[in-house]
Amino acid sequence: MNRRELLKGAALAVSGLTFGSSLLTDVFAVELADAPPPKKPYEEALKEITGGKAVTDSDKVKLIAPEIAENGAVVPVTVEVELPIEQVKAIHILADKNHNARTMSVEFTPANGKAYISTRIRLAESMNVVAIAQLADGSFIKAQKPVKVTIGGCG
Amino acid sequence: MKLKSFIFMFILTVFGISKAEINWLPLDKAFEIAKKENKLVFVYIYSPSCHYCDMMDFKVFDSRKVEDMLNKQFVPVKLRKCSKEGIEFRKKYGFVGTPMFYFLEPDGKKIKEIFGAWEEKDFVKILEYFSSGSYKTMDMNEFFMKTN
Repeated sequence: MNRRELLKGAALAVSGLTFGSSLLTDVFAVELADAPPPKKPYEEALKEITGGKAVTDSDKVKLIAPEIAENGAVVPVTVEVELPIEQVKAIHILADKNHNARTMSVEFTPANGKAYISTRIRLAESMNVVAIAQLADGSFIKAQKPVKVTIGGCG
Repeated sequence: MKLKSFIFMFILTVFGISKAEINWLPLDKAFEIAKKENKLVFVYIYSPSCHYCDMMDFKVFDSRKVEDMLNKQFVPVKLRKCSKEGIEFRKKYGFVGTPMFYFLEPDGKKIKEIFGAWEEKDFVKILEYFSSGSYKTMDMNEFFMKTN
């Protein structure tokens, strides 16, 4: 193979890679457009967590979230369940008007020491944030808070 | 029928049209006044083609309560997004979209900018966060967590 053939081969390989990768990107984009993230309304998400069991309001669940969030993309939320850790199996956070209402679920073991989580969640609009504690005896308790975000704006 | 129309027009005139008037000031004078009166400068950047700016203009800035707060506790400035001043301001202080609100110290230092339209009662609470001086000791989310 002489120098000219080597350069031709390299050029072909590079163009092939570029074309191939852009083709793959296009294919992924089409797949994403065809299959948007699944919608999960609040009732469906709740049923998924509780299996249809009743959820009672409780002051043992402390939900801290701002009344007005300055940025709906990063709303700070803190949940603490004021029960011994052995009695708390999991904490679930739901946002009742989000496309997928099931925002996060955290499972605990006694090694966690405390049923406490602090995170940031995204809210598509003003809505209720709901914190559900799943207890070791199979029951569910909750607290909820309305959080307001901007009505909208022009980019 | 004429009487009904008259009553309707009377009610609309008396109750339906707010006379709220915010004393929007030019940007160059605002800092001068803010220094003299020890107030924060409130800057509103709007676009004539922005639906959410119209919402703010007709539903929020038209409110007596908002008018009162802005006129008494702030030095209000309104800038069109694409005006020369608006462009320079956006370059200096940053910009996300319209409507955009900036809270500035009298020396021009930015405290915070807030993007988007709000309902009147929520906007009043946002103004209270700044006018009460709470911004000096806690961030906005922390402030609104305490209003639980």
